[in-house]
Amino acid sequence: MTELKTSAEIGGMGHSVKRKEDPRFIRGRGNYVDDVVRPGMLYMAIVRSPYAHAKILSINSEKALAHPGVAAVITGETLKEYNLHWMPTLMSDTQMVLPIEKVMYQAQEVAAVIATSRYAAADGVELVEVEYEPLEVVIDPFKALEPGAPVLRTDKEGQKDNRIFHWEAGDKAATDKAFKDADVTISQDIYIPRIHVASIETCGIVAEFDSVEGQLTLWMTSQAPHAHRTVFAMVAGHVGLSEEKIRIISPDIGGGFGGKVPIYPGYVIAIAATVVTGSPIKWVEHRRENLQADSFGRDYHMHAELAADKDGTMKALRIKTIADHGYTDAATQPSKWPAGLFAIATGSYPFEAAFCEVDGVYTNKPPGGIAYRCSFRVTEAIHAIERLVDILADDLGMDPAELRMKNFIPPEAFPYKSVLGLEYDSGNYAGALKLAMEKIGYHDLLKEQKEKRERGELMGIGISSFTEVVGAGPSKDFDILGLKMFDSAEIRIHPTGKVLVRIGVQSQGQGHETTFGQIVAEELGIPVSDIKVEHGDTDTAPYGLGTYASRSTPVAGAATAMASRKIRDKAKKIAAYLLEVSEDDLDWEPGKFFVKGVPDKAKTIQEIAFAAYTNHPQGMEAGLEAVSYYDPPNMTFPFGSYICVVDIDSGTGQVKIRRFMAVDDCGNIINPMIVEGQIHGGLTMGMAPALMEEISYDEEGNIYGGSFMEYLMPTAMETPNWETAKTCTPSPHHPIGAKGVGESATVGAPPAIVNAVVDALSHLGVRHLEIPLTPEKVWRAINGL
Amino acid sequence: MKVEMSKSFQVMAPIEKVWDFLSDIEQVTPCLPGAELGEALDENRHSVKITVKVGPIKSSYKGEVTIANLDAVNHQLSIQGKGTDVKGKGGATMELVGVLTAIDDNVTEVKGDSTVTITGLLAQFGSRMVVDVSNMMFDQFTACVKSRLEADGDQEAAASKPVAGMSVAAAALKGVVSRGVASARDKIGLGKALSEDEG
Repeated sequence: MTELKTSAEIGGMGHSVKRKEDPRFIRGRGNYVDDVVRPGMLYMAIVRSPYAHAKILSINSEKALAHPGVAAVITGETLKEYNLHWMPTLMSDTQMVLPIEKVMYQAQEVAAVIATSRYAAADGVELVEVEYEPLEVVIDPFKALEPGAPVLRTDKEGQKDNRIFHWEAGDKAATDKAFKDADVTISQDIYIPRIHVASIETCGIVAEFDSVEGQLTLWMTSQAPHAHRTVFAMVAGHVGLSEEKIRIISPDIGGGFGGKVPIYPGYVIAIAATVVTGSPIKWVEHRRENLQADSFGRDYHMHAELAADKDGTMKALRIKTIADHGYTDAATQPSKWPAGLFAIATGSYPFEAAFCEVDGVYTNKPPGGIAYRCSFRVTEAIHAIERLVDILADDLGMDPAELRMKNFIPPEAFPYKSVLGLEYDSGNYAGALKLAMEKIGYHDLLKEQKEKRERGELMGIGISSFTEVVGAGPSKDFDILGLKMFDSAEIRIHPTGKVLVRIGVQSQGQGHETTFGQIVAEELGIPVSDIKVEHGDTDTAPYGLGTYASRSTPVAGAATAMASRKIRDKAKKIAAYLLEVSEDDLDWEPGKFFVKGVPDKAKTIQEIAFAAYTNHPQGMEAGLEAVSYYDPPNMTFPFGSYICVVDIDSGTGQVKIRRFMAVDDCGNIINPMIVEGQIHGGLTMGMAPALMEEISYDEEGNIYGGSFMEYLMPTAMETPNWETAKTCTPSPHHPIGAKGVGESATVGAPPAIVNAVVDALSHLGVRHLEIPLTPEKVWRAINGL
Repeated sequence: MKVEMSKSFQVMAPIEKVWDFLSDIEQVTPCLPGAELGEALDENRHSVKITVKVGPIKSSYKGEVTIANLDAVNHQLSIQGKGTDVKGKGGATMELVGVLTAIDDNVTEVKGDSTVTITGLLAQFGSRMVVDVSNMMFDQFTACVKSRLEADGDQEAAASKPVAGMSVAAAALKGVVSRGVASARDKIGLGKALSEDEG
């Protein structure tokens, strides 16, 4: 466990400090985008396409404009006048803001109605008449790649097919040879379906343009306000928007999970609308728009293979993936990583050879491919490897825990360079699995399962020993549209010893206002209650790339520690001056410098802060503040072992998670209570796609799962009692030894659940099941249908 | 979504009488639930408006029907229809092939194979009910055709009122709601506990 260096009053690392943001949330005093009201504000609603692929023959706004309260109808033609009808995606692809010629997916934005009330805007949407001519729809990504398939992106010069990119990693020849030489090879097709983050707050914006000052202020559901501002300035520079005159405020955000990283057409239309009308414009999605048109996660069709020796030693891994990105590549991967960090596919095991390839494909589906509570395609990669390990165990007649223990990368091998090119910072995989097995009573469960199986009852035990790669990232490899993925912190100590911390990342519920204060408390010994953390306003926060992919603690957390240390260095100089000793004669304990061997001769950090403004040494600049832009030397690699026990009703196929033991290791912990909350939420969000959630499409491109009537999200009712435990293997390169944790459970939970269900049915010949494991699917498997 | 249906029914009327009725679009349209015949566009094409209510979605399709093939010798006909939702919320196409067979002098079997493709809001939200609605519509259509061909003169006059689209939806809805709710509950594990209540 993380060693406590500060008192509970100071509340540094390892203390379960209560979240500073919660009082305003539980008293209904949070301030979300929809709470923002501006004088003279108009409301926007969007007309969306019922067709997945169609020519637009005409758009008739007459009736809508005649409706009381409707002020304007904006179409692609309106935006074309300002050359704003197209925009770049974060993956350097292009996306329509509003269409001129054709629509490419169901629910695509077709026009926007601006009105004096939300009701009038919604009525206006009903009255806009659009004439379509349906075109051939391409939904299946495999068919999209077949020769002769209609080329969807006719707007892209030189685009001859529907392939977006081809990415590969590893040594193909060595991998092929290892497969040829292997005793045992297994292969499995695995599909990770489209799902949606379905955060409690949908996306929205209030856009206000001051035509006199040329100032554009945006209250926006943004996980990356600085990056978004830079993109707006670059895209709309030609209409007079300039970066210093754009202010993005990302206020309280009701869940991001990657869904608020992309720039959606609705934001851009609202900005155009405020510039054109001169009135503030509010647009907030309704739930169906959010589920249907906002970026999805996953949608990876994988063909995964593993080669091993007869004794279970894993030798080689090969995965070929078709990634369905929809109509444009609007994913949110770092620019050099079109398939994200899929290279983590070798997982917790030391393969001698591996080769992975991913082809991105255009289809007539909504765009996306965001990192849904997952550091860039890690969930997909870990699902593949953890399923393969279980299939191998089944084929070899080995216990899956024993097979994992036999193969794990040993603790002494770190830092470990994987054959797919990642350098794992630290890990103790066997330690985590051993603890999980002890905590859940693994061997007793095996016995129980055997007895139950003899009685005809279906019980399964599933393990997942995952490793993640989070904290993008080192600037040599990681950027988004050229913006390097460093992050920042700016700390000011006021004369009275109170603190203002401003960070480049921003919170969507992670508790930054608490945890970043705790980092400063740890480093400077100032009570966390005296520290105010601000974020999310581009006018005040230092530049940063935003919060997603578990990067806040690894990158901005490190920046906060480094800035604190700069302050401590200056404080030491002031303390030496005040105590009339040399700096070398001073020792530090949290909250004060004292003369070595004379603990009474001391200056507290508060006294030093006051002196910095009232009695600083001659020749030294006054004040006590520091800035750090932290460029991490490597990613961090949190890991864990999860064990899931399921009981299955053989009559209905209903899966019940009886127990779920999650052992996580995220290095040093800043706030154990918040980590616990992250794990609980992550496990629930991991269970969701494993058992319930899926967005699918029929041949015509109709969206199924486009409302909460069909998109089955777990509530407290469906959520089992999660059991958790921790091991602690600090990151060697991170200033406070911490790793990201927000996404571990989302990555680790699905394979544990699937492995448990397949285990329960393995004696019936079931070798693999695709998620979500709905009662119908499980019932069919039980009955061999 | 695609809905494919194969249906047949018998009418107590001679084959030529049934053929004359079914091959005359102006006679047959009032029997299609929710349908209103518009103007004739040419000999084989008519504009048409069909209103269907599936659950919470009421869709009015404006479009046209084309009689693609009318084979009076073999008593076969094929009809194509396409329409767009008047509020731009989707579209539908239909292909129907009908064959009449004389069972005896006074009994005719009508066999129809149809494929309906639906795009848009109705497909998204009504998918679980569309088949039931289609079945109901077919039953009402059958009842209407029978009543017109099997009735004597007085009743024929009484039956000339078009079949309302709305009543179809209500009846179909009753059939699916209990099933739909049960399957949603199954997914979330409440199926067993609640299914007994519904009895």
